This record gives sequence, structure tokens and C-alpha cells, in this order.
Amino acid sequence: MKLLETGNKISVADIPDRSYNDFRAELIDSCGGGKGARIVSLFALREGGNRLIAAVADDKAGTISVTSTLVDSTYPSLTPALPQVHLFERELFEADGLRPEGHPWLKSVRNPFATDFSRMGGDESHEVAVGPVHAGVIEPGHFRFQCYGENVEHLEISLGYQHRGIENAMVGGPDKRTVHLMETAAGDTSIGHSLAYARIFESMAGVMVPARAEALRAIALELERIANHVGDLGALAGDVGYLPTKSFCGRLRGDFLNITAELCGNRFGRNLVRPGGVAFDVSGDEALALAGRLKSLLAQADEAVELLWNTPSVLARFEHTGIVSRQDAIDVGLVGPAARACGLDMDSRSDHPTGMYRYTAIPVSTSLSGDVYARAMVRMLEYRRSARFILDTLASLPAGKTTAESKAPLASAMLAVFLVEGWRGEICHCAITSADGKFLRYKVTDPSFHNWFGLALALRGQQISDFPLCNKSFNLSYCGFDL
Amino acid sequence: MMRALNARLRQGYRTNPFPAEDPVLSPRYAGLPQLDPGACNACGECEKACPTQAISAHTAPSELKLDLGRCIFCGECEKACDQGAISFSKTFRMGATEREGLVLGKNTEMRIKRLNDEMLRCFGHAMKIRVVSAGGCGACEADVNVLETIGFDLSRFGIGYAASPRHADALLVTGPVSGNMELALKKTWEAMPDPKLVIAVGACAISGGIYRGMPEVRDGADSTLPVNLYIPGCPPHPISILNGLLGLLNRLP
Amino acid sequence: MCSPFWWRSSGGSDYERYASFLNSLCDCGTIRSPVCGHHPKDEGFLFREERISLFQTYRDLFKLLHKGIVYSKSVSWLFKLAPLASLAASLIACAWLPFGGMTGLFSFTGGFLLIAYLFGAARFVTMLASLDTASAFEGMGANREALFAVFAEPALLLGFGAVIVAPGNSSLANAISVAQNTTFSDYGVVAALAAVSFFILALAENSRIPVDDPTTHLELTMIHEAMILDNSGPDLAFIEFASSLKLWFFYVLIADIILPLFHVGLVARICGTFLIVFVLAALTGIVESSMARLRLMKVPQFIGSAAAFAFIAILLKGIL
Repeated sequence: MKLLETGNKISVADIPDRSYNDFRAELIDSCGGGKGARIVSLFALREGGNRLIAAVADDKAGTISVTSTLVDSTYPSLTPALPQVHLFERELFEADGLRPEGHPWLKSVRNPFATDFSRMGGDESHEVAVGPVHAGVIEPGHFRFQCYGENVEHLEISLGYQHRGIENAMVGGPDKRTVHLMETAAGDTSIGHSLAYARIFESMAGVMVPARAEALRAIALELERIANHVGDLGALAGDVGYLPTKSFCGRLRGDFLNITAELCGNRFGRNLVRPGGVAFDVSGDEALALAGRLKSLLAQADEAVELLWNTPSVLARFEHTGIVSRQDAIDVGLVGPAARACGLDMDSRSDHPTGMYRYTAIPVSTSLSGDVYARAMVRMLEYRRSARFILDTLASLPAGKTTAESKAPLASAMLAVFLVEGWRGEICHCAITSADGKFLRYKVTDPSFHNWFGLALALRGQQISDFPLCNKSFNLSYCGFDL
Repeated sequence: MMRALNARLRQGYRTNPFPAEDPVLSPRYAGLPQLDPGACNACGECEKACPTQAISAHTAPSELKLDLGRCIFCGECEKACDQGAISFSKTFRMGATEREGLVLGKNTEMRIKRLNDEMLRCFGHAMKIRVVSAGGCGACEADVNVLETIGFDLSRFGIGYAASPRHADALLVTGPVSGNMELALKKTWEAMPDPKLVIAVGACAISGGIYRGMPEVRDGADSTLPVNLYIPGCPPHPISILNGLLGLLNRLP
Repeated sequence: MCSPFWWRSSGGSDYERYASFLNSLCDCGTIRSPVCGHHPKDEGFLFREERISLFQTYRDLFKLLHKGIVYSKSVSWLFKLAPLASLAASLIACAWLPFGGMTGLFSFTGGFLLIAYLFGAARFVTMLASLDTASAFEGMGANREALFAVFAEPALLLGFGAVIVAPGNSSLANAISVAQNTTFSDYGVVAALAAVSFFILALAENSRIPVDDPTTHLELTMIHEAMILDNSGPDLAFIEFASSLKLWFFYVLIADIILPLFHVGLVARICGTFLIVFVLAALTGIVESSMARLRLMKVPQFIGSAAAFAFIAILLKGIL
């Protein structure tokens, strides 16, 4: 394995080319059995044979390294030894036709018409199929519950309805569509994905981003986190039928989004992050006004969220519901608040800091119980800490420009990997350029990609009526997964 | 319980006064684009900058046209035009019952025609909407969803979201209609009792938006269903969506 | 809350009967609007900001009556019968219900048994109809409904037992007129316990928090709502109207139990009934606004408590 160089990039020629057995041994050595490292991306490059490329992040050391191997159309599956790659292997099977021999559940990832679901036998069990069109206003996905009475024995999640082909459309870029495609990879994580893309672009083009731009980007990213966490806490209240917090937080989410709109005119932070910096600046007065507005909204949010912890009927629903064990979280490679709620101390903002996070640390929020309560608690801690970070940053905005003027082309034949801690967790973008500086492969890994399986695990042995609650406590993206 | 009531008192009254009053939007909000063919010199720079081919301006200044149905309001054309022929106003009232009405610059009028009297008698004060997200990024759903919160309180107009297509009067489509959702969307439509409407919300649902032309998508709800109302934006501001719905139901003052 | 018919009730007894029935038809929707919003899926009134129209229920019904019906390919005549059956059951129940001391449209010995079984029959047909759609949710909804009915139906009968049978009466109208001559200490505790029992049943039978969440858009947690996902147009209108009537039925029933304690004239009793119904609606709103839904498997215990209250009322009646 080879560490990425400065700027999180490495020349394609320098990526180690191992035999499959060495490749496998390397990955198992570094990531297996809770060794600390994780596979953040695994994909194939089809130029000159099928080359598997794996990016491995070591959170304790704060490093990312890559390794690769050439495989035939079949290869021995890594999943039995390294469960966290199970979806990556299924993806390779679907998109690139590479068959991992010995994969325990090999089926397509984004083809919703695949009908082979794992089934539970017996006369007294029954199956509940939900979706793709749901009763609520949510994105499409299909869920198959194997139930015994009201108990869920197994849940299989089948997605792909939102598949638009973003990764394919990125190939040959960057062009005028690229940044917009990234902003819409997951609409509620526009800042997170566009920021990850901007980092790739800047690293490859050698652009130095002004400090002021980095500060504004971090503010926007944390605002996105606050809006979504507060909104989700309200939605959790709604899912257990607790109306006060649901009503207040539903409205407050919009108010936080409106702060983002004050920055860039769009509630979801569209058109804000651009390669080289940010497209909008804030004046001193505006910064003061934003801070004032944020403070008053926070007081209201705190009051609304506090009600949750003071209402026994709510706590009775949150506690011991949807538990994911710490070991399972490590094994399947959970990321973000879902992982932190299982007690895993990992956060890309502190483990792999970029931009503003290199100067200002945000404490990592963890909880131990791994249930809905823990996920709600982590989200509450996170939005409060993000708010403090924003207020501090707004009070001491670096002077200078907001965008770097650079028309440099992307470096040729280069690989770059960046991790950005979006509100759902780690967003990993990994790009490889061709000899003429165009994207040859652009791999997007939304945190939802890692975490959907966590939701399936959380549901085992739970009541089926608790599914919406568990689902909302993860609140994963369908479009970010389907791309 | 007392805490909740206490909080209720302190959180106060927060429902947006629209449609009685216009809402206060961010000063940076990019609303309805204004075209000034007089200033246009047909250099075609805006067309080159536009990521969704929403704009055409390469032949003659009088031909300057902007298709709101494709526009994602990124503002690149405004930046690219050194003549100032394109600018984004603060007007949030956007929407049309005819697809052609969204093409600005031609001799068309962007207008939301109210439903006919018979439909209005039924739906005017009671309409249930089934929302189907057919591809797309999820931002439009979020802004549709937000209308049900107390911030906008859709139910004061007698409008609400239905849990089942059987209960629904209108099908609100977001997203470009991905190939994988096409069948589900059609089935939802067929499951609804007559009379029924289709509302396309967002650039994706109107034209495919940023995904237009990609092989995995069907370039908008038009491809599959007869659309009655188009609400442009990427995503449209909730107030634009509300304006569209109320316009259709003849509830705007 | 004020139907155009109530003033006529000061006339003869025939008028009285029709008036109390027509009152039900006209007022059930208006009580439903402030409590549930215009549709059972709206939030409790405390956390709403704009008041929605009192007549929203009727607007919705009007619209539904003008809509077409879509039947799925799998359903049979049973599915088409169920909405009418539940409407019929609710209508008959309201016709039987005394209102503010006025006798219902009909009343006979043991009528309360007919009402309890009519509700049971309506529930049975609704459950069969939902199974008829062969959909996994509707089956799940029917399954839950059946489970909860096991607890709710005995509670309803015990409640009737406490206020009608235990004091030695033969019908509700009879019980009310007898109760009007009793004292507070004689009947007060029994009435209060029975009222609590019926209130719990009202929450459970009408899909309110903490049993079911009428605002939920989550198909996997629905109970009653899950069973009617496939109904459309006029069928849905019948079901919605039937559930409005059912809510009205329980509120007025509680008023009927409490009011005889206050020895007042007809007009005062009618006003009192409206007042109690309004208070109950507000109480429902407060319960809904201040607590979360119970975990589904805890619901039988909650409904069981209604039976317990009624049972204690019967015991007390025996002692007193």
C-alpha cells in the first residue's frame, strides 16, 4: 500500500500493482479484525484490464493509502474476511461485471427489478414488501421484511430507483455540468458533495484556496449539518407521534436553511462552493446579522429538542430501539453519526482534516448504546458543537479573497481521494484523470452507501412498527446511494 | 406536559403570512430571470455557460430565449453576459399550466390558469396530493415536505398529502423520472381515481434538468404523464410551490 | 358545533328524536375539524397555528363524493360492502344515542348490546375487506385491529355494564332518566370511572395518539389507516364520515353519562352536551399534543386499562 502524497493525490503510475493475494492480504492486514483502518473506496478501472483500486483510510494516523491489483472477470471475494466491502463487491459485479467468488449475497445494487430476496421459510412467517412509493413524502426505495408476527427477523433493502448515472456523467469532465451534478448527488448534502468535488479539483489543479473561502465553506457545511440534524430530531419526534418537537423542529429546519439562503440565495447551498473558493462573500454586517439570527434560532432549537429528553413517553420509544452493536458497526464499516452512536470515535473533520478544520477542532460526539436514543443524542451534541464552531468562525473571519483565480488544467494521470464529513457521515470522492487531464473515473461514496446495511442490522429482532423510527434515526439518502 | 405548553407559548406564531402578504426572501435569492433583448448582442456566451441548455441566444438578439423549465437558477448566464441582458429578479411567482409558457422571451405568457369550475368546486377547498419522487436529488421533496410544517401550514388551505394514491386528487412529481421509477410512477397514476391532476415540481420533473439527456432518465414527467401544472426551480422555493398550488385552485388574492 | 337543528328539540318528542340524530350528522364533522384538522392525518390543534375551517370535513366529503372509484383487480364484493357497512353501523349507533337528555331515534331494552355488536360487525367487515385487497399492509392493519379489538370490545361492554346494567337499568335512556334522580355521591364515582373508560376507548377506537397516530404517513405503523389505503372516492367518504360519527358517538356518550348528575333543564342539558363534547375534544388535543405514541405492543395494556376502569366502576356500583 502506498500513502497518498501531499494534496491527497498520487500519480497513477505510483499506485502499487500487487498480485491479487498480496492485495487481499494487505487489505485484511490493515482493515480486518478492527485494526483501525477502513476501506473508503473500492472500484475498478477498466483501462488496460480490470484494475481493482482500493483506498484505505487510517483514522488514527490520519492517512489515506491506495493499492491495486489486476483481476480477471472473477476473483475470490474479500467479503467473507472483510464484510465492509460487501456492497463495493456487489457494485463491481453489477457495473463492471467482475464476479467475486464466494460472496455470500451477490446481487445487483441499483437494479430494483432484481427479484431474488432472501426469504424466511415456515408457515407462520410472513413477508411485508414496502415501496418504492411510500405513504409519506420520501424518496423511493424497496424494503422486504421477513416477519414473525410483529417481529422483524430480517430486512433486505433494495434501492436503485433514483439511479441517474451521475458517475458515468462525470467521466470526461470537468465541464460546465460537473459541479451541478455534484451538488445534486444528494440534494440535502449539496455542500458536502460539492466541497468534496472542489477539493479533488483544487488538489489536481494545484489551486490554493484563500483562507476566507475555507472559513465560509466550513460555515456552510456546518449549517447544513445543523439544519438536517434539527430537522431529523423533529422528524424522530413525529415518528413517535410527539407533536411539539415535531412542529417546532420542522419549522426551525427551514429557518436554518434560510440562513444558508442568506449566504448564497439557495436554501440548500447550491451555487456556493465552487472549485477555487466560494461564489459569495459576506460583509462584516452580514456576518453579525447571521450570528445573531443563528443564536436566536439555536435557543429555540434547544428548547424544542430538550422536550424530547423530558418526555418519558418519547424516551420509552427511543431507548433500546434499533440497536447496532459496536462490533457490527466496525465490521460493516458504518460511518458518521450512526457509527459514533455505537461508540466509535471517528469523524473525518478531526481524523482527516482539510481546510478550516485543520485550525479549529470540533469535539467528536459519541454515545455508547447504539440505539435510536444514542443516534438522537449524537445528533443533538453535533448540532450544538457545529453552532459554536460557526459562531466562533463568524466572529473571526479571515480577511482576503473568496476565490482563487486559476485556470490551470487538472494534472494528468493522477488519482486523488478526499474525505468530507457531511452531516450523514463521511463522503468519499475519488477521481482518476486521464493523460489529457480529464476524469477517467470518478467514484462517489455517500455515507449512505456504508450505512444502509446498518439499518438492516438495527431492525433485526425489532417490531416492524418501529421501522420508521429506526429509519429516521439513520435518515439515509436514497439518491446519494443510487447516484 | 407543562413544558410542552410553555414551549408552545414561547415559540410563538410562525406561519408564513403568504398569500396575504409577500414573504421576505434572502436578498441573494435568485428568482424569475429578466431578459433584456435590447441589450443582447447575440454573442452566445450565456448559451455556452448554461449547464442545461436552457438559454438560446446565438442567432439574433430578438431570439434571446430562456426556458425556465430547464433553468437550474445557477446564475452562470448572468455572470457570462457582459451586456447585462440577463438578470435574476426577486420574483418568486413562477409556474405555468402550459409548458410553452415557461419559455421566456417568446411571445408567450407564463400563467397559472385556474382549474375549470367543475374541478374547482371539488378541489377548491379540499385537495389531497400524492407525492412521488421519481429520480432526482431529494431537494424538491424536502421543499414539498416543508409546506406541511407550521412554517407554511398547507392544511389551512384544505390541501394535504395523501398516504395512498387512492386517496389522492393530484400527483406531484419530482425528479427527472429515472428509468427505474417509470413503471412505479405510471402505476401510481393509474391507481388514482378520476378526476386527477399532475403537478411537475422542479427543473428535473419538467425537463430532466441537469440530468437531461442522460441515458438512465426520461427527461421529465411529460414523458410519462399529462402534466397540468409546472413549477420551475432547482429546487423551487416552497413559496413558489405554494403559489402554484393556490393559483391552480384560484385561492390567490 | 352548532347545527341548525338543535333548537327544534324543544318541541315534541318526535322532534326530539330526529333532532338528536340530525345533530349528530351535522356536528360530527365540525368537532372533528378542530380536533383532527380537516383530515385524521393532521396534527392536534394545540400545535397548529392557523385554525382550519370548521367545515373542512364536509368539504372533503363533498369532494370525495364527486370522485371516481378505483378498485384493484383482486377485490371482491366484500371490499365494496365494507364502507357502507361501517357507515350503517355508525349511523344506527348515533340514531340510538340519547342527546342532552333527549331520547335517541329508537331505544329498546338491551339496545346497547346491539350497538356494541354493530361496531363489532363493522370492524369485522372492514377487516375482511382489507384482507380482500391482498396487500401486505392492509393485512398487517387488519391483524393489529383484530388484536386491539380483543381488548376494546370487552371494555366497551363493561363500560355499558357499569352505567346501565349494574344500576339495574335496561337501556341507556332508561339509565339516564334514573340517574337524573340520583345524587352525586351515589352515581358520581361510577360515572367518572365509566367516562374515563369511554375516553380511553374513544382514543383507541378513533385512531388517536397514544394508540394510533392519525397524522402518520408511515405505512408500517398505521393501524386503522392501513386498512383503508385501498379505498377511494365515495367509499372513502363513507368511511371518513363513519369515523367522524364514531368520534361524535363516544364524546356524546360520555356527555350522556356525566350530565344527569347535574339536575338541569333540557336547554341547559343540550348546551352542556356541546360543552362536554368541546372539552373532550380539547382534552384529546392536549393528550395528542403532549405525549408520544405507545410502542405498538404496549397498546393492548393501554386499552386493557379502559376495561379495568369499567370493571372498577361495576364493583363500586355493587358496593355503593
